[in-house]
Formats: sequence, C-alpha cells, structure tokens
Amino acid sequence: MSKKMIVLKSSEGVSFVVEEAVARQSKIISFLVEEFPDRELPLTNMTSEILRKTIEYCKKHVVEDDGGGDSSSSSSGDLKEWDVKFVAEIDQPRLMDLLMAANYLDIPSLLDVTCQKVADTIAACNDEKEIRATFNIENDFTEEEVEAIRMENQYPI
Amino acid sequence: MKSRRLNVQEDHNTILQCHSRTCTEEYSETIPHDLIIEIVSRLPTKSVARCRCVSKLWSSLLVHPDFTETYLKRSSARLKILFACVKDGKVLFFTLPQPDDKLSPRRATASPSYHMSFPFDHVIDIYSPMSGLVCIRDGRILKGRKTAAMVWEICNPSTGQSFILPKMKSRKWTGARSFFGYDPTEKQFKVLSMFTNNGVSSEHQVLTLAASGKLSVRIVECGIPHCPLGSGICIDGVLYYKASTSRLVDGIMCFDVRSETFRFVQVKEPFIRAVQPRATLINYKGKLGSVMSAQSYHYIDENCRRFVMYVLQDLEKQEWSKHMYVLVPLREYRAAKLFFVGVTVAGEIVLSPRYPSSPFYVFYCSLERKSIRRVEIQGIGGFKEVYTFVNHVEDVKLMQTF
Repeated sequence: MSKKMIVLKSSEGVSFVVEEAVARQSKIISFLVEEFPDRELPLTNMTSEILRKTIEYCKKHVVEDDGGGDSSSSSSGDLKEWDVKFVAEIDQPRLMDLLMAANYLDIPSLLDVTCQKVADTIAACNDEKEIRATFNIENDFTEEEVEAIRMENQYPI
Repeated sequence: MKSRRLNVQEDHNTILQCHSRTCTEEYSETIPHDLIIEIVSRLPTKSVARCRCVSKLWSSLLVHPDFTETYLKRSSARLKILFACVKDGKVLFFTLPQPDDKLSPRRATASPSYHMSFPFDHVIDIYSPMSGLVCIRDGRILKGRKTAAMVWEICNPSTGQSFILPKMKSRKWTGARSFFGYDPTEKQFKVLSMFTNNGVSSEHQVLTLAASGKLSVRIVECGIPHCPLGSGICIDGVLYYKASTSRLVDGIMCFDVRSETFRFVQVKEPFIRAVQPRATLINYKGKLGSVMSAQSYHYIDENCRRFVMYVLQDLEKQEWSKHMYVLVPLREYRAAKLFFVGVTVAGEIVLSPRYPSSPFYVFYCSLERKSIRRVEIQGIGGFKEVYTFVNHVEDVKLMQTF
C-alpha cells in the first residue's frame, strides 16, 4: 500500500511533498488534513528553509506503524543525541524561527527541544546585557529602573 | 497556547498568515508571551533574576503569577537538595539536583550550585523549607542593644528576599518554641509559637504569611497543655510534633495548619519508641515516619550501624509499621556522625553530617532495595555547620512583605 502524501507550501510558494504520517506530528496539520483532505496546505509564515528544517525533524521523529505496533525509527537515546545535534547546528535567529514554527504548528517535542536550547543559551549569558544582545531586545529601562528591579530581586546578579 | 486554536478559521488559507518577518527583527515583540514563560521557567533562579532586568515586557511577564506558578510547578518536578551552610555570620545556600535513585550510581561526586548568602549573628536553628521558603532562628544583636534577641527570619534562597518576622506578642520571650508549617490549599505559611512554663506550653500564637504577602498574628486556644519535644514536620497541611501532655502521656500533636486546631494522639506500646525524645520525624512517602539509630539516637556513627524507622499507617488505630536497616560499616566511608535529614520522594532516607567533615558525603538509603548510595559533595566540608534538606522546590515569586 502506498503511503499517503500531502503537500505543504512555504511562504515563497515552494511545495514540499511529505508523508502524511510525518506531517501529522503537527497537531494543527493533523487537524487540517482531516478537515480539508486532498488539499495542499499553505504555511505562509514559514520560509522554505524553516519548513525544510521542521520536516527534517518530523521525518526523524515519525513513529512508523507497520502493523507490528509502535516502532520508532530510532532508539530514544539515539533520538535524544540527534536532537541535541540538530538544534546545535542552527544559529540563534533561525532557532527562534524554528521555535515559533513548532509553536504555531503545535509540535510539542520540537517545541520542547527548541525551548530548551534557547533556555541553555540564556543560562550561558553572564548578565542582562548579553541576553538583550543575543535576542536583539532593546533596553527600554533607565538605569534607575534596572537598579530598582535589582533591589526588589535582591539576587546577587 | 489555547488561543492558537482559535486562529484556525473556516478557510484554512488564512491560517498562520499573521506572522511574517525576517530573521533580523526584534524577537521581544514577536515571541509570544507564553513562550517567554515556557523558556524562562526552564532556567536556574539566577538567570530568572537576570531576565527580569532585560526589558519592561520581560520584567512584567516574569513577576506575573502565570510565570511564577509555572516555575514552581516545573521546580516541583525537578526537586533539589538544599544545603544551608553556616560560617562567619552568614548562611550560604547551595543546591544540587536530587538524583533519580534508580539511575544513580552507588558512588558519585557532585558540585552543588552556590546561590547566595544571608547575614546572621548566631544561627540557632534552620527549619526544613516549606514550598521554597526557609525559616531561620537567629540570636541577633539588634540596633542599640547589647544582648542578643531571638529573631525568626524567613529567607527565599531562590530570589534573595528575606524578612524578619514580627516579634510575638508575649510578656515572656524565653522558652519559646516555634514550628514552621505550610497550608497548600490557601498557600499560606504559618509559624506556630508557644511559650513553655515549667515545660508546659502556654500562649499559643500563629503568625500567618499569606500568599499576598500579608502578615497577621493570632492567638489560638490549644486546650491540651503539653510539652513540645524536638522538631516538627509538616505533611499535607498538618504539622506533627512529638509531645508529652501534662499527665506525662507521650504522643503526637497534630496541628491543622489551615484551621489552626490541635489534636493530640497518644502513642502506646509497642510503638512508644516512635515518639522518644531523640527520634527524628520524617515524611515517608506522604506518611508520618519516625527514625532513630538502633541505640535511639538522632544520628548514626561508626559504632552504630543499624537504624529503625516507624511509619504511621493509621493514626486512629495507632498502627505503625516498623523497618530495620543495617548500614555497611561506616568506617569504610570515613564518615563522622550522620544525621537523619529526610526522605526523598522516591523513598530514600537521606543522611548527612552536620559538622565539618572532609570529604562531605550524603548517603541515600533505600529500604525497598536494601541498598545505600553515597554522593561526595564538593566544596562544603569546611563550614561550621551544614543543614541538609531534601525535596526543596524553588519559588521565584516576589513577595510584597519582603
């Protein structure tokens, strides 16, 4: 029996043909293919690059049901290692895009690994200036305000 | 996260169009707030304090109950061992992840993370933390005074906030006994204090620290004159401590933290040993337990390898189960006196030294598997005193009282 395929379209209009089982790791896509079968799904906020990455992740994590019950394509230890490598290779801006994609598409395991990677990046920052620089956040505090927050927290930071 | 589903509209072509940008734009405006909470709740407490200084948006999100409650919940799933180390007028706090007993090796080495220190004059006692807060009894030289006064200070080693509890309203100040309890329903911390007259309690007071940070003091009627013995333990909103009534009946006093009512339960033979003065009360998997060395001390040393634990199975019927445990000879571990500090949620009894010890070991004893694990804790052997606590959660809520 041939596997059912669906088409996902990136913001640039590039079509990706994906096995339905792979794409269904996204709860949103899973919902949409049931509601709108046989249609291609435009994901207009996702670049081809991010969509490709997301699909790469989903392909690795798909649980194949070939009649013999659940059998993941990899052992859980190997998968964990693969995940670490997967997010380690992505630069900060793309990691944030991937995190957003995991959030919008509702892929809990991808959201978990990307959130953890971002958390590890923040944990490695020595002060709030480094955090702002990493995430390109503008400092809208005056020095007095930062000082007041420090006083409130009383944490030696 | 729930709101995202609402975006799924009849025409699926419209989904996911709300958010298009290039990689170089600012994230602070585009990261959904629940994701910021999700990410920061994974961070150690020190990083949380830094994140609160990042921007106005982050600051307001990270003091909101949505965040602090998520953090507390996540922290409850990654419990810590807390070390409160006393030295040179300070209490320094360190934490270590509480290991999963089944996966941990029998011998290991660990370096705890240093959090912060609080100044104290003369630490008399450190109470077991309740939902992240630690209560410390200190003999303190207050301004303008020459002699030390007794103060109770509540510290949060996850935020750095600390606060001296108001002085109890009493004519007498000596002979005060205090117990620290927590009501998980109302999320209130309470300090039960009583003053003893010829060993018998009188003037029972309850100081409440509400979730809002509001403080109040109330006199409570006990109705059962008793002599409190040893430290207490709070399990699911009930504070238990050993007590002897004025008629010299030994038993357990049960103080319901929420309703502030007392109940005395007599303990009879053959379980009377469970309430002997040097027994240490513990929370054994949600049940009240009492642990002591075979020689009835609150510690074990190289001369005594056995200890006994009683676990209360039924308070009404006074049914206790009794468990014996034999440690491997301690001399092999070069350990000093090991005190009972508590039980992990996995059911391992934890023992650790209180006084300087090098190397400093924490022992985890499993009654179920009849095994013992030893973890060498680096960097805390040289303190005057080390209080070790299990099942510590980290609460980063900022309280207005502080």
